[in-house]
Amino acid sequence: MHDEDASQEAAEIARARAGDTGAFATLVRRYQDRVFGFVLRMTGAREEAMELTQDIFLKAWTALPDWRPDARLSTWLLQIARNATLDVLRRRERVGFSALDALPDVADPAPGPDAHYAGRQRQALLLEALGQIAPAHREILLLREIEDLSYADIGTALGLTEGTVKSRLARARLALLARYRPLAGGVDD
Amino acid sequence: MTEACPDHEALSALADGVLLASAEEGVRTHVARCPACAARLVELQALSEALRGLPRESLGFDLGARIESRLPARAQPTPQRRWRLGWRSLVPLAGAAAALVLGLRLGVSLVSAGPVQTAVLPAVQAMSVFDAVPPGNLCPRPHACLLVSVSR
Repeated sequence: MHDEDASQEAAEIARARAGDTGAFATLVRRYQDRVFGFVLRMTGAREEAMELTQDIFLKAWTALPDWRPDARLSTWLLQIARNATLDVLRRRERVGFSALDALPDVADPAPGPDAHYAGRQRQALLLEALGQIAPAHREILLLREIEDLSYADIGTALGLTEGTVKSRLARARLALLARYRPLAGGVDD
Repeated sequence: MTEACPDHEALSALADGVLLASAEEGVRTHVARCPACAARLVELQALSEALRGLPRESLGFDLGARIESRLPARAQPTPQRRWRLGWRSLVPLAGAAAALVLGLRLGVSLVSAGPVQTAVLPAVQAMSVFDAVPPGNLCPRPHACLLVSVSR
């Protein structure tokens, strides 16, 4: 985020903390897709992810006075999203899920129809493998690879030290590869 | 390869570019000479690329507009209010302090009254005769039954 954008966002946060619902709505618009994407990948259910995203922002509104500038707003929101998602997963008592119903319209990665199909299939298999690994591995991979968070920010979001982030991320990659390799073995380019 | 291959954690950190500079050089040198580790690193980088290539999700509607009317009003504590609360909280505190001072003064005056204590002591000793030894029983201690010496 550029300095100008950061200062604009800081002003919006200050207004939202003072009770300005319009300023908070602006923040919601900025982060709604990131939060929704994370929740969707974690739960694998689109309708549920949409409802949960609304709940997460309502929680964020209530908790906003407690937010401190030492954590980025995006990291803080993802932390709330992560906790809310884990609550849902615990209620479901379901570790794995089929991510296939979450497969969105895929951007064309290659010019030809065969390549398009293969790319789409690989993404579907990757999402399926992602849905099969433990939530603790899934969340850390999403925060690193999709949300592009630093190790320090991941540590803040998950309540871990940077050393633990490093080791858990390595184990999560191994777990995902172990699931993905057999699935992707038969996909041709 | 004769030297030990780096563990998976080191390769994962290398793929993320977060390996310490002192360790990075050694791992990179090893990977350049070890086909197995080079293949592991390539696989990690490909996985990362595949994850980053996943399409971004969109909620598909303006959640900000939808949520704005549902936001509950937020109570805002102000510094002035906190001061008022602070002064109010001093009133019971002052009352408690006054009660404590009065209690201490009363206690000191009782303790310092020496003659009262010596006057009460014989009566207490006399009562102990009836309390400790029921009628008809033997005295536990000879001096406990000597009422004459107590009354004297």
